[in-house]
Amino acid sequence: MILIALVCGGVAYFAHPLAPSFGLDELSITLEDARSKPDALWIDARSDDDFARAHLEGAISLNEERWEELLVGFLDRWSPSAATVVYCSSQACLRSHEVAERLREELGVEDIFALEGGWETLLEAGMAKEGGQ
Amino acid sequence: MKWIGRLAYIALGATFAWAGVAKLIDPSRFLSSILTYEVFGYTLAVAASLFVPYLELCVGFSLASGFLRGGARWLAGALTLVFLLLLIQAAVRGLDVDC
Repeated sequence: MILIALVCGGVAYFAHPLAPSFGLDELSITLEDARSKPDALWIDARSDDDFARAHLEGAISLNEERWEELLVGFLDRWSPSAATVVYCSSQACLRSHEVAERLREELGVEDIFALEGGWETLLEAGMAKEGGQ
Repeated sequence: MKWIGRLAYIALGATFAWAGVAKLIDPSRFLSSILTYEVFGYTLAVAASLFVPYLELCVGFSLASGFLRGGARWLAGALTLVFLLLLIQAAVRGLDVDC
């Protein structure tokens, strides 16, 4: 039974369109490391509603729901010489990893990361506040 | 009385199978749920998100059909125990877990 589940899981990894990737973890960056990046561009990968409620000062919205629309605004601000840090809601949220991975693929650069802990970490660090911005 | 036992196995099997199907439809969402517990590392969580749904499906099928039911009982108990332990530790740590 365990063997069957292992085989099915392995097949799903390669064949399932929504299967998660083992490689996403390589995109992660701690808040400390992110803050040490000079002139980093911060991207909010949460929903439009969450972004409208509050977001990090200077961050711009980019999510997969309105990718094409929001990408224009991102490209206006993006500089290949500076790092990009994407955040979503929390440690369990994968949106930031998906956005960071997609940006890396589409732009062909490596200096794009997903913030560990996301918005919750920014709140805990006092870098953002609920209802702020 | 025997039919009550069979019915209970079928109901339990259907529950496990349904839980498995719900997870395997969107493994990324299940991965997100696993990460919420803040127990497993990312790599292990990805492996679990791919493996556990099929295990639940197999366990459900075995419980309902009677095929390899002895092993399925142990696995069902183990899966339930792990789930309960995860819930308890999340409650103790005050984590916001959507189960």
